[in-house]
Amino acid sequence: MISVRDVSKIFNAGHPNEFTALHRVSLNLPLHETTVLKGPSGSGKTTLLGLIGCMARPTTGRIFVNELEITSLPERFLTEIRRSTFGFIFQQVNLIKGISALENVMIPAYPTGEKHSLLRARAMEKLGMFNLDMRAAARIECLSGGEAQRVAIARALINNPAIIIADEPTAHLDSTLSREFMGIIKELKSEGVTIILASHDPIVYDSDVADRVVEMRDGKVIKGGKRP
Amino acid sequence: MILNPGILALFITSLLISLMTIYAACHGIQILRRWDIASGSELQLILERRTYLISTIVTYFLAFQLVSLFLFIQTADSICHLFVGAMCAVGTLTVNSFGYPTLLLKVLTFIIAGLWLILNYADNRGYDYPLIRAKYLLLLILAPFVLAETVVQCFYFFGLTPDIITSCCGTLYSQSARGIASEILALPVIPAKILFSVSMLATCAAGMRLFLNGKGVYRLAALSGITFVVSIISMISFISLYIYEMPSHHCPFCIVQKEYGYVGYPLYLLLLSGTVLGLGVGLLQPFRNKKSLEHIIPAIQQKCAGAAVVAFVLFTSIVSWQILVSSLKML
Repeated sequence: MISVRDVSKIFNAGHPNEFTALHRVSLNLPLHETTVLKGPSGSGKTTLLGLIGCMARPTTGRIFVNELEITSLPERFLTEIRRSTFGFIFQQVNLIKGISALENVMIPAYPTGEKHSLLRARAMEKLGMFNLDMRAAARIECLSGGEAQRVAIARALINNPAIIIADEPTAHLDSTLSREFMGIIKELKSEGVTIILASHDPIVYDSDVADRVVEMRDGKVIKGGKRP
Repeated sequence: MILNPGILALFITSLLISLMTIYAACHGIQILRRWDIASGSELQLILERRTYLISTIVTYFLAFQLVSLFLFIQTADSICHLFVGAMCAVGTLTVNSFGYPTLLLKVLTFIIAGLWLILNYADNRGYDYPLIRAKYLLLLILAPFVLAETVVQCFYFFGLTPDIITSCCGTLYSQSARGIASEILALPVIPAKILFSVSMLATCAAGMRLFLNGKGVYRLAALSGITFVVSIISMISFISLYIYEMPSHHCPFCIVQKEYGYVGYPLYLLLLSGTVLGLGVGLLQPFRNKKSLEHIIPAIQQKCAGAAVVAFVLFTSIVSWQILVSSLKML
């Protein structure tokens, strides 16, 4: 269970441009399910994803992942949790140009010190999941938009995370590629991976992959629950 | 005040360390009063974020605090030629009445700062700030000594005027002098050697026992403290005689000079390091049962015990070597 308890996030607190991105949000997200955070721009979806994924700290409140309280953890512990527990898929693919798809996939695992041959084999396996093994040596700038997105997903999976966090993953994809992406999410879900997506794309939140849709607006949860 | 690079460095860094310690102590008071890890309040989250930064900065400042003891001795030794009668750091330290108090405070803050660094090292390895209160309590204990040291050091440096006639170490560390030094000098050599050897052996044995079996934590801590005192007495009583190869020269400071191969620096560094590491083992013991540290503290204690043994063995080895190669023979 991922438990968000009374979490607020205020940017530039005490300054004239103070902005409350999240206002006392409480949520319980079961593991091994797919949750979609739905809402317009500025509703707080990305901020909430960032807090759950240990990329930022809340202003108030606590977040628990499997009973482990993550918001108070010192940075040195957060780094390990980010690396081992979470896989991130961003709105922009954020792949590194000038190196191959395979190297991009391997990069998040380098700090683990794992043997290079084992790491390479696993990266190839992840690329193979998305039929990209033939494109492993291709440089990022030579990949199509869909291929780049799948490489980004393979990169998110390289450390075998228990939780995938995806922020507007279909924002730069056409309808066909967006449906293909949701197909991949379905596969991951069937493998027991917990998935949390933030999106205002109907292809995502209307998909039957989503077990739970949490609707947000103005930094608050206005509707959320398990689908019938 | 004499404008010497060493004095300026000590003066400026002491002020900076004091300012940082005051700031950290104020934060520490807030931690002691308001810390509640179970709370998700804004204040608690601010304290968590701030403590990480403050601990990191204080670590660097206190690391310099350790170095400053040796810089102080080196500076005192290097400017002795400016004072009539002074032959080494002893003469410089007796130029006014603040020299020795500064040195004693520096030794004291060295030990407490070293202990704080060990406590902070252990705390940083726990995921739930397990030693946060103990760490800041120790910092609050350290703060007055750091401030006192800065003030006394300021009086000492501002009181340094080159026209003062001072005493040399031969006068101060002679049996005719009054005070603790003369009491130490009056100690017979053989009992002093036996006392030194027994305390060193007992401490190293306790350290090895802890390193190998994880037992005897408080014994090592107590013996480290005793060995520190015994070793300082031994330095003045008989070790220095062998280094100087003179039966009546007991100065504990001339050994940091070039003529004696700067042997005083490694000796004092090893002795202080062994003492702090040995005491640190005992300091960590009450926190051994903290859930997030139950496997970490025994490992740190084992490392500290091993390092303390290495420091004491090296110290004894250097001392033994100096005695063996010395032309002075005493029975």
